[in-house]
Amino acid sequence: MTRILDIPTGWLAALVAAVLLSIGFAMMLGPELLGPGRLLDLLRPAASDHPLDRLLFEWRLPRVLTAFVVGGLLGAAGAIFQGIFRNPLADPFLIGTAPGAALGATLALLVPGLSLFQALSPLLLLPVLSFAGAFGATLAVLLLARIAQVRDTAGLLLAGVAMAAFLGAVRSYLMLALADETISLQVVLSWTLGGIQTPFWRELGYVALASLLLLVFARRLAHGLDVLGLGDDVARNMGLPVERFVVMATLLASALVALAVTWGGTIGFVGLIVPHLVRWTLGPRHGPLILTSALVGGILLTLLDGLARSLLPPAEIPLGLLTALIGAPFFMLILARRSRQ
Amino acid sequence: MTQAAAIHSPLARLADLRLIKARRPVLDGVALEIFAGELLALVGPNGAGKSSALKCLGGIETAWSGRIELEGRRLTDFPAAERARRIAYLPQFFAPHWELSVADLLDIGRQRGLTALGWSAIRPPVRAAADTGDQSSGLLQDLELTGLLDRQFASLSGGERARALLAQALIARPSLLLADEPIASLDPAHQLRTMQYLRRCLTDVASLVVLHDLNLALRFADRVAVMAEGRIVVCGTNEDILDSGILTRVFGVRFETYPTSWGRALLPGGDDLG
Repeated sequence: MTRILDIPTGWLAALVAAVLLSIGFAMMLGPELLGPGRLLDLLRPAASDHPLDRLLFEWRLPRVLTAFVVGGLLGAAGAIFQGIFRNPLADPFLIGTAPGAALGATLALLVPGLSLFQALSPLLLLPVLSFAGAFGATLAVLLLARIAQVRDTAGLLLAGVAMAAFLGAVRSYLMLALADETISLQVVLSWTLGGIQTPFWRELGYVALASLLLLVFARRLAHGLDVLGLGDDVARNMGLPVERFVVMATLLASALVALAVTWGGTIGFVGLIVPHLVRWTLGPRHGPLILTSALVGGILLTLLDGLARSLLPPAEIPLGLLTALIGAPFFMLILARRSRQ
Repeated sequence: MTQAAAIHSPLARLADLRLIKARRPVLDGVALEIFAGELLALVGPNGAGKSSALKCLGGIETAWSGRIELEGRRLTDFPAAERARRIAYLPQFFAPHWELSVADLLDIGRQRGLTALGWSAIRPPVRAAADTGDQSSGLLQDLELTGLLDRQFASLSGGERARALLAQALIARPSLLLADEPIASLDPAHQLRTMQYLRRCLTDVASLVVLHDLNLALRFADRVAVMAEGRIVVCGTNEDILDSGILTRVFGVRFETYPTSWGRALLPGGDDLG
C-alpha cells in the first residue's frame, strides 16, 4: 500500500475529492440557493458583471474557504491536544484553550484603549491576544494539574473543564462591564456562539499561509506525540524531553486554536469529533492523524457553515450551535464506547 | 578499543549513586558494573531501590549525586538522543494510551533516539523491513512476532505482550537493555519462555533485569546483584551468591537449596524467619 505523507494514497485521493466537493456544495448554499448548473454558469469568466457573481466571489467563496481553514485548524489542534493530554476526550473547548483565546479576543474587541490600538493594526491585535489567551490558559491547566499532583489524564481534563468555566465567567463579566451601546456587544456575542467571519481576499491569503505554516510545524510534532503516548517513563527513555516537548506542542496547538477562534469564534466539538473519526479509520499514529484531521475538519466545517447560512434565511444559525448539536451526542457515544471496553 | 580492553572495561558503571525521594534515601550509594553481552539480574526485597536504579540509568530519573558512565563517558555528556539509542528501558507496567497495533508499537520503537521534532518516517516501517529481510526481521522471528504484527497490543495475551515489548525495546538495537520485572505477571511456562527469549536476544546486548523470582535469576543470569536499602550488597556469580548466605539476611527468610537439572534451586523456609 503506497502512502503519501504517511497517509494511504487511496484515502488521500478520496479526501482531496471530498474537500473539492464540499467546497463546491457550500458555494451553492446560502440564503439564496444555487443549483450546480447555475453555479457553473456564474463561475465562467464571461458572467463577471452579474450581481450574483460579485456576491459569489466577494462574499461566498472567501467565507466558504475560511470555514474550511478554520475547520482544518480545529481538527489538527484537536489531534495535537488529544496527544498532549493523552485523552481522546480532550478538545480545545473543554480544556480551556479556546475559552482562553476567546477571552483574549474579547479584550481586544472591548477594552477601549486596546481597540484604539486595533485601529492601527486590525490584522494583528485580535490574533495576538487570542494566542496569548489560548497559550496562557492551556499552560495554566497543565501547571495547575502538576502542582495539584494530578497524575491521570482524566484529572488533567477535569482541570481543563474548571479552567474553561472560569475563563467563560470572566469573559461574560467583561462583556457586561465593558460593552457600550454600540455594536461591540453584538459582535462579541456572535463570536461566543461561533460564526465564520468573511475576510477580504488579502486577509484570507494571510490566514491560509499562516495555517499552512502552522500545519507543517504541527506535522513535526507527530513523532514526539507518538512517543508520549507510551507513557512518561518510556518517552523519557526514548530521548523525548517530556516537559519541554509538552510546552512546545501546547504553544503550537494554541496558535492553531487562536487563529481558528479569530476567524470563527468559539466553535466547539470539531476538535473532538474529527480526530476520533480519523483514528477509527486510519489508526492512532499522529503523523497521518494530524494531517487527515485537518482535512476532515475542513470538510466538516465547510458543510456545517453552508447549512448555518441556508437553513433559516435570512437569519444565520450560529455555527457553534450546530457543532454542539452534533458534537454533544457524539461525545456521549465516545463515552459509551470507552466504558464498554 | 582492543579486544582485551573491551572485555575488562564495563559497558556501564554506576558509582556512589544517591537519590532521595520524600526525604527517604531511595538510592544510598549504588555501585554496579555491567559488561557487554551479559545478563545481570537485580534482585532484592520490595522497596530496595531496584526500579529507581534502573530509571536513573535509563535517563528517566536524575540521581542527586554520584556518577553513571556509559562506554567510559559520563551519561550526562551524552545528548538525550544518543543515550536513548544506546539504553532501552522496559517498564514494569506498560499501557500505551492509544490502541496501537504491534506494528505501530514496533514502528515507534524504531524511532528510538530520533530528536523530538524529527519527521516520523525516517526509518522504514517494520512491515516493509520484515519483507526486505533487514536486521529487525530476525528479531521478529526470534520473538515469534511475525504473525502478530496486525494485532492490537491490548488484545494480546500476557506472553505475547511481553514478547512485543521486548521487541519494541530491542528493535533499534540498543547496547543495554533495562527491564523492570518483565515476567512479573506471566504464568510459569511463559516466564520460562520469556527468559529464554531474553537470553536469545542477548547476542550483542547487555541487559540489567529486575527479577523477583530468585530461581529464574539464578538460572538465567550470568551474574546476580543483590540490592537492599538503596545499596548493592553483593554482586557475583550464582555460586558466589548462594555460598554467601546473603539472601537470608537481605530477605529476612531462611532459604533451603535443592539440586535441580540446571543447578541449585532455592525455596524459602516457611515460617522459619532468619
